[in-house]
Amino acid sequence: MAILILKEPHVEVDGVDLSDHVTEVHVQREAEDVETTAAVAHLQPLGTKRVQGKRSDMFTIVFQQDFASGSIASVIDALFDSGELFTVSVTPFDDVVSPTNPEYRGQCILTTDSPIDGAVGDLLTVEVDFPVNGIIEKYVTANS
Amino acid sequence: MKTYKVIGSQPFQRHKPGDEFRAELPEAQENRLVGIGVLEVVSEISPRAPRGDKGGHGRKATSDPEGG
Repeated sequence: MAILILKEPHVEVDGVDLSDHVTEVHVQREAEDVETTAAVAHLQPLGTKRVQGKRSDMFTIVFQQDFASGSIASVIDALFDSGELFTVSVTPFDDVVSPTNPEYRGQCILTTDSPIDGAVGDLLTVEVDFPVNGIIEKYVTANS
Repeated sequence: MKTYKVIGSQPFQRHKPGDEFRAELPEAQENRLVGIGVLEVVSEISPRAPRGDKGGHGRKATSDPEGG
Protein backbone atom coordinates (compact mmCIF):
# COMPACT_ATOMS: atom_id res chain seq x y z
CA MET A 1 0.00 0.00 0.00
CA ALA A 2 1.39 3.37 -1.01
CA ILE A 3 1.65 6.04 1.64
CA LEU A 4 0.75 9.40 0.15
CA ILE A 5 1.80 12.75 1.47
CA LEU A 6 0.01 15.76 0.04
CA LYS A 7 3.01 17.92 -0.76
CA GLU A 8 2.33 19.51 -4.12
CA PRO A 9 -1.32 19.41 -5.13
CA HIS A 10 -2.04 21.07 -8.47
CA VAL A 11 -4.85 23.61 -8.28
CA GLU A 12 -6.21 25.67 -11.17
CA VAL A 13 -8.94 28.26 -10.82
CA ASP A 14 -10.32 29.60 -14.10
CA GLY A 15 -7.19 28.17 -15.73
CA VAL A 16 -4.82 30.08 -13.43
CA ASP A 17 -2.37 27.82 -11.62
CA LEU A 18 -2.54 28.90 -7.97
CA SER A 19 -0.82 25.79 -6.60
CA ASP A 20 2.10 27.65 -5.06
CA HIS A 21 -0.24 29.53 -2.71
CA VAL A 22 -2.28 26.52 -1.52
CA THR A 23 -2.05 25.36 2.08
CA GLU A 24 -5.18 23.17 2.17
CA VAL A 25 -7.40 21.60 -0.44
CA HIS A 26 -10.64 19.72 0.09
CA VAL A 27 -12.63 18.04 -2.67
CA GLN A 28 -16.05 17.19 -1.31
CA ARG A 29 -18.55 15.13 -3.24
CA GLU A 30 -21.73 14.92 -1.25
CA ALA A 31 -25.27 13.75 -1.86
CA GLU A 32 -28.39 14.18 0.21
CA ASP A 33 -29.38 11.13 2.21
CA VAL A 34 -33.04 10.61 1.31
CA GLU A 35 -34.92 8.23 3.54
CA THR A 36 -37.35 5.93 1.78
CA THR A 37 -38.48 3.80 4.67
CA ALA A 38 -42.10 2.92 4.00
CA ALA A 39 -44.94 2.72 6.49
CA VAL A 40 -44.89 -1.04 6.23
CA ALA A 41 -41.38 -1.12 7.59
CA HIS A 42 -42.55 -2.95 10.70
CA LEU A 43 -43.11 -6.02 8.54
CA GLN A 44 -39.52 -5.93 7.39
CA PRO A 45 -36.23 -6.27 9.23
CA LEU A 46 -35.40 -3.12 11.20
CA GLY A 47 -33.35 -0.58 9.35
CA THR A 48 -33.75 2.67 7.50
CA LYS A 49 -34.12 2.51 3.75
CA ARG A 50 -32.38 5.25 1.84
CA VAL A 51 -31.32 6.45 -1.59
CA GLN A 52 -28.83 9.01 -2.75
CA GLY A 53 -30.48 12.37 -3.37
CA LYS A 54 -29.37 15.69 -4.80
CA ARG A 55 -25.62 16.27 -5.07
CA SER A 56 -23.96 19.30 -3.44
CA ASP A 57 -20.33 19.03 -4.45
CA MET A 58 -17.80 21.62 -3.41
CA PHE A 59 -14.11 22.47 -3.46
CA THR A 60 -12.72 24.24 -0.40
CA ILE A 61 -9.24 25.66 -0.80
CA VAL A 62 -7.11 27.65 1.63
CA PHE A 63 -4.69 30.05 -0.05
CA GLN A 64 -1.95 32.24 1.30
CA GLN A 65 -3.32 35.61 0.30
CA ASP A 66 -1.52 37.61 -2.38
CA PHE A 67 -2.67 40.95 -3.77
CA ALA A 68 -0.20 40.98 -6.70
CA SER A 69 -1.65 41.44 -10.16
CA GLY A 70 -3.00 38.16 -11.50
CA SER A 71 -2.62 36.33 -8.21
CA ILE A 72 -5.06 35.13 -5.52
CA ALA A 73 -7.05 38.25 -4.64
CA SER A 74 -7.39 39.51 -8.21
CA VAL A 75 -8.49 36.11 -9.53
CA ILE A 76 -11.00 35.42 -6.75
CA ASP A 77 -12.37 38.97 -6.61
CA ALA A 78 -12.87 39.08 -10.40
CA LEU A 79 -14.70 35.75 -10.37
CA PHE A 80 -16.94 36.87 -7.51
CA ASP A 81 -17.69 40.20 -9.25
CA SER A 82 -18.48 38.51 -12.56
CA GLY A 83 -20.89 35.98 -11.05
CA GLU A 84 -20.03 33.71 -13.96
CA LEU A 85 -19.22 30.02 -14.03
CA PHE A 86 -15.57 28.97 -14.16
CA THR A 87 -13.59 25.77 -13.91
CA VAL A 88 -11.78 24.52 -10.82
CA SER A 89 -9.40 21.61 -11.25
CA VAL A 90 -7.45 19.73 -8.59
CA THR A 91 -4.97 16.87 -8.82
CA PRO A 92 -3.15 15.43 -5.80
CA PHE A 93 0.25 15.73 -7.47
CA ASP A 94 1.80 18.24 -9.85
CA ASP A 95 2.12 15.68 -12.62
CA VAL A 96 0.30 14.27 -15.64
CA VAL A 97 -3.26 13.13 -14.96
CA SER A 98 -3.37 9.35 -14.59
CA PRO A 99 -5.21 6.70 -12.58
CA THR A 100 -2.82 7.37 -9.69
CA ASN A 101 -3.04 11.15 -10.14
CA PRO A 102 -6.73 11.72 -10.85
CA GLU A 103 -8.11 15.12 -11.73
CA TYR A 104 -11.27 16.36 -10.03
CA ARG A 105 -12.90 19.08 -12.06
CA GLY A 106 -16.09 21.11 -11.72
CA GLN A 107 -17.83 24.22 -12.97
CA CYS A 108 -18.10 26.55 -10.01
CA ILE A 109 -19.59 29.84 -8.96
CA LEU A 110 -18.56 32.04 -6.06
CA THR A 111 -21.18 33.09 -3.56
CA THR A 112 -18.85 34.48 -0.89
CA ASP A 113 -15.55 36.37 -0.96
CA SER A 114 -13.48 37.23 2.12
CA PRO A 115 -10.21 38.71 0.86
CA ILE A 116 -9.08 39.72 4.35
CA ASP A 117 -9.87 37.35 7.17
CA GLY A 118 -7.47 36.91 10.06
CA ALA A 119 -6.02 38.21 13.28
CA VAL A 120 -3.15 40.65 13.61
CA GLY A 121 0.09 38.73 13.65
CA ASP A 122 -1.35 35.75 11.74
CA LEU A 123 -0.34 34.58 8.30
CA LEU A 124 -2.96 36.10 5.99
CA THR A 125 -4.82 33.19 4.43
CA VAL A 126 -8.20 32.96 2.74
CA GLU A 127 -10.47 29.95 2.79
CA VAL A 128 -12.53 29.89 -0.39
CA ASP A 129 -15.57 27.68 -0.92
CA PHE A 130 -16.24 26.83 -4.55
CA PRO A 131 -19.77 25.41 -4.80
CA VAL A 132 -20.15 23.34 -7.94
CA ASN A 133 -22.80 23.85 -10.59
CA GLY A 134 -23.64 20.20 -11.29
CA ILE A 135 -21.15 17.69 -9.98
CA ILE A 136 -17.41 17.21 -9.62
CA GLU A 137 -16.21 14.86 -12.35
CA LYS A 138 -13.21 12.59 -11.97
CA TYR A 139 -10.76 12.12 -14.86
CA VAL A 140 -7.91 9.64 -15.02
CA THR A 141 -6.43 10.54 -18.41
CA ALA A 142 -5.01 13.83 -19.66
CA ASN A 143 -7.03 15.93 -22.13
CA SER A 144 -10.31 14.30 -21.22
CA MET B 1 -7.59 31.04 -32.36
CA LYS B 2 -5.38 33.64 -30.66
CA THR B 3 -1.87 33.83 -29.30
CA TYR B 4 -1.70 34.74 -25.63
CA LYS B 5 1.23 35.60 -23.38
CA VAL B 6 1.28 34.80 -19.67
CA ILE B 7 2.17 38.14 -18.08
CA GLY B 8 1.09 37.57 -14.48
CA SER B 9 3.07 35.99 -11.67
CA GLN B 10 1.07 32.77 -11.82
CA PRO B 11 1.24 30.11 -14.54
CA PHE B 12 -1.83 29.68 -16.74
CA GLN B 13 -2.77 26.04 -17.20
CA ARG B 14 0.66 24.48 -17.92
CA HIS B 15 2.17 27.66 -19.35
CA LYS B 16 4.72 29.51 -17.24
CA PRO B 17 4.95 33.32 -16.88
CA GLY B 18 6.50 34.71 -20.07
CA ASP B 19 5.30 31.80 -22.24
CA GLU B 20 3.23 32.36 -25.35
CA PHE B 21 0.61 29.86 -26.44
CA ARG B 22 -2.23 29.52 -28.91
CA ALA B 23 -5.72 28.83 -27.67
CA GLU B 24 -9.35 29.63 -28.15
CA LEU B 25 -10.55 30.88 -24.77
CA PRO B 26 -14.16 31.79 -24.15
CA GLU B 27 -14.65 35.55 -24.47
CA ALA B 28 -15.76 36.03 -20.84
CA GLN B 29 -12.72 34.15 -19.53
CA GLU B 30 -10.37 36.07 -21.82
CA ASN B 31 -11.83 39.39 -20.66
CA ARG B 32 -11.45 38.41 -17.01
CA LEU B 33 -7.88 37.16 -17.35
CA VAL B 34 -6.71 40.08 -19.48
CA GLY B 35 -8.46 42.51 -17.12
CA ILE B 36 -6.64 41.27 -14.02
CA GLY B 37 -3.23 40.92 -15.66
CA VAL B 38 -2.90 37.16 -16.04
CA LEU B 39 -2.75 37.15 -19.85
CA GLU B 40 -2.33 39.51 -22.74
CA VAL B 41 -3.46 38.93 -26.30
CA VAL B 42 -0.40 38.90 -28.57
CA SER B 43 -2.13 38.33 -31.86
CA GLU B 44 -5.33 37.18 -33.36
CA ILE B 45 -4.88 34.72 -36.18
CA SER B 46 -7.39 35.21 -38.95
CA PRO B 47 -8.65 32.17 -40.83
CA ARG B 48 -6.43 31.23 -43.79
CA ALA B 49 -7.73 32.07 -47.23
CA PRO B 50 -8.30 29.02 -49.41
CA ARG B 51 -5.28 28.32 -51.65
CA GLY B 52 -7.32 28.63 -54.84
CA ASP B 53 -7.99 32.32 -54.15
CA LYS B 54 -4.30 33.18 -54.46
CA GLY B 55 -3.48 31.23 -57.59
CA GLY B 56 -4.09 32.09 -61.22
CA HIS B 57 -6.86 29.59 -61.76
CA GLY B 58 -9.66 31.70 -60.34
CA ARG B 59 -8.45 34.85 -62.06
CA LYS B 60 -8.08 33.08 -65.36
CA ALA B 61 -11.61 31.78 -65.09
CA THR B 62 -13.04 35.23 -64.49
CA SER B 63 -10.94 36.94 -67.16
CA ASP B 64 -11.72 34.31 -69.74
CA PRO B 65 -15.30 33.31 -69.14
CA GLU B 66 -16.66 30.37 -71.02
CA GLY B 67 -18.38 31.41 -74.20
CA GLY B 68 -17.44 35.07 -73.66
